[in-house]
Amino acid sequence: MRPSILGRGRDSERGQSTVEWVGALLVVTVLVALVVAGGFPTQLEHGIECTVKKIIGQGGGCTAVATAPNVMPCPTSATTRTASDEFQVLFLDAGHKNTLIETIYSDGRVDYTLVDDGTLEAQEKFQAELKVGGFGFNAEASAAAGGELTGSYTFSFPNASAAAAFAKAVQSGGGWGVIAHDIAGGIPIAAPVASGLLNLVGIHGAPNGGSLADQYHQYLTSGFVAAGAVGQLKGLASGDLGPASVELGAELSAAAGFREVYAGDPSEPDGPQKGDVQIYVKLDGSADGSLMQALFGPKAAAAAKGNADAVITLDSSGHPKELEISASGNAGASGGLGVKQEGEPGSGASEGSGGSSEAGGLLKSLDLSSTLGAGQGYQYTATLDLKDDPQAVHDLTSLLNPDSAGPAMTGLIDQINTEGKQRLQPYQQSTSQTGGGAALEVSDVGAGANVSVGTQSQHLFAGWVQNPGGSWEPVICEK
Amino acid sequence: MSARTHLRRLAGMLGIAASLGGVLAGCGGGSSTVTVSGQASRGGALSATYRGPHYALAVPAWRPFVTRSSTGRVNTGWSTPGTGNFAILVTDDPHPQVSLDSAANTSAQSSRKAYQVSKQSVVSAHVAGARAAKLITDSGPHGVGPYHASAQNDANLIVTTPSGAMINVLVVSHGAGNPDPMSVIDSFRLVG
Repeated sequence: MRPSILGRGRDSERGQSTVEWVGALLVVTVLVALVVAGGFPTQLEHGIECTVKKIIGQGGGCTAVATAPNVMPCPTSATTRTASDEFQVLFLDAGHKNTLIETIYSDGRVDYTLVDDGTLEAQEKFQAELKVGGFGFNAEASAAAGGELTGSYTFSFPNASAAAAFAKAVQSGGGWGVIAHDIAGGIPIAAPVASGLLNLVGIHGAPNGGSLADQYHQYLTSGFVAAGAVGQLKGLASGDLGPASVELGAELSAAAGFREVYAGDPSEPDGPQKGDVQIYVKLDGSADGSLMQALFGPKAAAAAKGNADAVITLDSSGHPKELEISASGNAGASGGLGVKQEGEPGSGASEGSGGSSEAGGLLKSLDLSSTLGAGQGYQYTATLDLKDDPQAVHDLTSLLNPDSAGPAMTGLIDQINTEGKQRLQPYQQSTSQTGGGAALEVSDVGAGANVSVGTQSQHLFAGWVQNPGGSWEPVICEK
Repeated sequence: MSARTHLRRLAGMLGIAASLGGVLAGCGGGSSTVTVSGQASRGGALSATYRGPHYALAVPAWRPFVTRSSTGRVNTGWSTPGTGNFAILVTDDPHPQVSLDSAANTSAQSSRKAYQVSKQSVVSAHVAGARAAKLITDSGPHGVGPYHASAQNDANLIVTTPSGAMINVLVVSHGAGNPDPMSVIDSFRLVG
């Protein structure tokens, strides 16, 4: 019988395979010999080199991954300034109730967050919080979650000189409050929240604002709107404008405002992106307590102090996207962090089963006691992906209900510990309260008897990060 | 001159600069110039050579991570699996928006704040084929975390290429038993 064409084909392929295998083995043998001998050329392409090492069991392969496990830009300092009507602080101008938060990152980026305090009560609260050192970089989020903001803008500059140029231009244009409306006036806004944003901010135009608007639009990354936006917020959260979870939407519709993202952070592709909406929520006290226990363990939690806020990010269609829980604390918290953790060898306590129920808490592996002391505190941030995770959305809904907030926080922290990302940054903090125009960076523009300037500075250490499923690792600050 | 000799000279000069200068506030650049040999030491943990679009350097045989920004900036890095206590990050920016001096100042200032370094040195560096280069080294216990009692040495080489691109090689080492950051820096070279 004559072999079929198919059969002949197979025969010829079989022969070809043999030749290929012999050739491949020869190449691999030569390469392995070079590697084992340590004499491979230094300019050998990395891909080939890694493949060889994988074959011979060295290195486990070198295929590039998309994200860095523990390398990221670090905020290294945050300065919060608020002033009374008679003072100009940097470029906060007289006659307006504004707070400026200046955040500097390890890669040179500078963020200005300009907060419109809105009411005299809000202004006084900012001043009071700064006096006791309770705000700092959380000023805006805390005020937003507490319903005390009228509006705010965040500008991100790639380097200090660009930020300084902006500050100088704003000063020469009459100060922030005078020109803010014009700077923001040309920003395209995503459809669900298009109407009403600018008018809600409550600040008005000025003659010099037009040219600044064109120049600085590119740096405006997000804006917060509050009073008057409630109708849009309810629509977005309840599903009129998007299919958000009905039960979650009911809870979110009670929030006092929302932030719209104009530009995502290029260094955080998984973070908020253009068109997303962020809703700030102040957590119930029982949730705060559960979070402290989860972080520091039952014993240390009694000494630790901190307030937690939640930020829920929805995409432009209203889908839940990400939950971020942040907590910060100062002097009291450092005592908590310094307490020897239960469950450690020699403590006499029994080990828990893991997660937030584990004695010693999530942070037990971090030895912070050697450095934290007076004037130092911590910033804790946890993020959990809500996309395609109905259980997380359900737990979040429970978290927003005061009746179930405590247990829900415990459940969420357990989820975050296995599926989420956590970051802890210790910081050193100083606060000053100045009257009479003597403070640095303050120019007296008609000081009266009741002038008051509050400044809070925080220098942040690199800290640690825990990626999903990983262990705590020191953060390497990108430069 | 061998790579080992280059490295010894480099480390010696940096040690002198660090001990004389302590932590240099402002860091506009020192008067010393060090030479980066571009030759990798054989063996040890730095057993692989990575070749980027414009450069090559010795790295551990770990999986690199790569991120690209919309402006063409590429970050390539390596971090100790499991502990993260040693990392290399190379940023290749074809269109830098800052000068070399400004980048060096930002790096030095960031290290002082983020790690509370006890010694810091900023010197000019000679890299074959480069327009200019700066080397920033930090050392001392950084004061926080599980490695607070261990010696820490970081090195950051910032290079401007003839085409105007800026390449930033950052090596951070927490704790003992890691590769010498200066070995990574000394292996750096520009390639066509």
